[in-house]
Amino acid sequence: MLFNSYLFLFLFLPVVLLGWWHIRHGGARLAFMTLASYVFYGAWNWRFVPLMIASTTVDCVAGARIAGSSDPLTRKAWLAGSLTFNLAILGFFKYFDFFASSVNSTASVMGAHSLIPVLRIVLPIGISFYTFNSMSYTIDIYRGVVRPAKSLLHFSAFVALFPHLVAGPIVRYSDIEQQFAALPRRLRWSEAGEGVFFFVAGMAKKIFIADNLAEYVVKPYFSHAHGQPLVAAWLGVLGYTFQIYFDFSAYSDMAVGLAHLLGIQFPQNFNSPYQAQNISDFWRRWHISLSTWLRDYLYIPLGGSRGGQAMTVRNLAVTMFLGGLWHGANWTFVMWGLYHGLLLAGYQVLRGRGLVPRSAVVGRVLTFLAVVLGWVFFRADSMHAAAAIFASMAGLHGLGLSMATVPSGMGLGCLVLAAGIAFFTRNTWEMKLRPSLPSGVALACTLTLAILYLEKESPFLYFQF
Amino acid sequence: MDSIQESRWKRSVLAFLLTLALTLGAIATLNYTVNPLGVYAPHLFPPMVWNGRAEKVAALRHESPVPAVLVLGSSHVWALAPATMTELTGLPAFNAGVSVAMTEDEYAILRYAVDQAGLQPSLVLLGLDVEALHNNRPVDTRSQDVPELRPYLPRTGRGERVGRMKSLETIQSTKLSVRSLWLALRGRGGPPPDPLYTVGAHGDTHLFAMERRLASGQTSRNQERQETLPVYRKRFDNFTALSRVRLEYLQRTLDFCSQHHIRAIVFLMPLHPQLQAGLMERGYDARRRETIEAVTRLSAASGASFVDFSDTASFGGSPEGFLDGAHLDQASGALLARALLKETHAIQ
Repeated sequence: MLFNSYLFLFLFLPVVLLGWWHIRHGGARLAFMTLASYVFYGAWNWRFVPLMIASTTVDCVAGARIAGSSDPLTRKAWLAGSLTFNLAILGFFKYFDFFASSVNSTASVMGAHSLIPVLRIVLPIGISFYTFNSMSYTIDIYRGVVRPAKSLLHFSAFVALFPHLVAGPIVRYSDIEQQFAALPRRLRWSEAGEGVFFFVAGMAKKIFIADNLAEYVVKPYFSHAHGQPLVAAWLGVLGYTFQIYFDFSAYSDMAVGLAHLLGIQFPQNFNSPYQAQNISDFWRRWHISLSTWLRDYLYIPLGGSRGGQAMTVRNLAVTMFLGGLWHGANWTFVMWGLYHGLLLAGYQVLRGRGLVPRSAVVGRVLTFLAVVLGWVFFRADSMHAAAAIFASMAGLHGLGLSMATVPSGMGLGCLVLAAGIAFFTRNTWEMKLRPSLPSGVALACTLTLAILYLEKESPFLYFQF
Repeated sequence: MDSIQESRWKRSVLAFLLTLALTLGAIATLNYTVNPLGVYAPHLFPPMVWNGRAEKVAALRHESPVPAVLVLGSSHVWALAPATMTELTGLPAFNAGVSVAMTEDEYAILRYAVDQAGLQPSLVLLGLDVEALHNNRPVDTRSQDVPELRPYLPRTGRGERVGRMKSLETIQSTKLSVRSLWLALRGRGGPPPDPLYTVGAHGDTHLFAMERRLASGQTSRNQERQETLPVYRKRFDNFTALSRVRLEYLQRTLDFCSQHHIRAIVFLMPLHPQLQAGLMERGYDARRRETIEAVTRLSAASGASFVDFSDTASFGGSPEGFLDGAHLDQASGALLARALLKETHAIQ
């Protein structure tokens, strides 16, 4: 189910809010929420609900066993079991076909027949997000950072909680544990107001900016990307740069808003990433819940920056390579991850030698350009397509626009608006909404207008990951 | 201090909820009352969208002389011009083909023609597409939007009902409602013509937008064929078997003809060989085989004739006789009509 759908807005959300705030008993509330979240997830494909339940059960049991044992070997074995299970389902559903196709391509180059059958496996939506949520739980218990969940119900409600289920933010159990332990009995008006604000802001970003960029700038270019001239290529790639930001941060805002409406706080996932002054700063602002996850569970365990420059570079490259692969089973995502690993490593080296720009403006511009180039890998269907787009951006196919890719006035307007907001305004977290009648009316009018434009119900870009 | 702040938030949230309810309620009321898509009960204003099915229904009602030959089917049968049919049979003919017709559309139009428009055709030519028996395509809302056809169609499914409810809160409906009111105030109304095709005398229908593109050299038949393939691939994507309900509708059509002493001739329409080849991996061949088997059986049971023209050569046509991947030109349509009537001994 999509947040930006009639079914969600007019049926699911009102029913869930009514149920959640009317049920008094804590356990019953969590059971209701878990069930509602399974309905939310199952509306897309109910066949994958048991997979999520299995993953949840395995991690809950593993967490309890790790916490209940003082024997290091037993603890390690349960942790390894939990991680293996999660990585196995992620590997099978997300990476098996990629692996098989890659092996078969290599075999074909060497003149051999296909070695592994490609199964055309349907990717369960949100699998990357909920497996990462679950994995952080068992790792944190193993590290002694968090206590095991009070019950399977508590843990199931945490994993399935519908606002963050399919596209994050990647919430850790430590973020939720205390909140579940003391669930509020009534929704404070201020919390409801904040929730409404975040939700409407996210909806407006998605419907008015991201979807229009997709329709009027990104689609015209990427459906005829090969051999386009320079300006067309830059407009298309810039369009995608802003589309992905407004699309994904919109989802995060809506998730945060919905959590507020349930009396729960989620962590911030975006902090004006295109205002970053260097690539390291960018990764502290972009998809924060993923970058901190990668930092805490991958980069630091690998040694982080403790082993000298060469080790730091290696650790960054490995972390970002896996971060890229997390996004999707395609060499373009691997390349995108490696590219960012290279940028981060390069930045570390240059910073160590005092060679980074001192001007904040220059830093911002360079960082933004580097990020834009990275999105080419992210958006392209193949490495070949990415190379063709880079060739166009370098002007190898002429300089102007082509008839097929001229963005409309609407598209250009959206691009300018998106750039203005991304570069110069405060983000949703920094804006402080003053409660008043006009602000309530303005939010309602914005939401009404957004609902009127819901006809297409376009999914969020990050659903594919 | 906190309680003052909370009461401010309370006012703000209540203002939000009240405004949201009022604006959504007002828009839904406007769209329901004005009914610009013609899908709700009130018909105070003319619908604002062009509907080829409504156009054909209205034309049938006023057709003179009363047609004795009725051509049913999808846009593929538009190649069978009424003038040609009249020339071949010596009887007044009407082309009642409608875009993307499924068997329930054909049944509904036939029933409407006989029950409501007063036709007593002696010959019904039913040009069937393989995809008219699609098992996963919903009933066309354009048929459901025509009140005269609705009684003969399957009951509205949940999907369609939800679709109608959704259209109460869409920008398209709202814009059309406002436009409808504006036109009504200025004493005008009614839908603009369809940009893709026109309906002329006796139901004669032309894909005039494509014909104009071809005539001006803006596109070629080959290019049009290339563009047809992805559209049909999408249509065949989830066409996994013949629909039992749609086979039932075909049977009802043939039974109705039999009961009313109407001679029925069913013929399977061709697709361009290139398009057929492109649809092989989507199961076109299997669906075609199943269609031929099923229609042969149903036709025999109800005394109708069935001719398989899915292969272009079977009626003496050629691949060059297609405007795009699916639509024959008028010359090929005439060839097909002549071959059909001869083969079924409807003419000598």
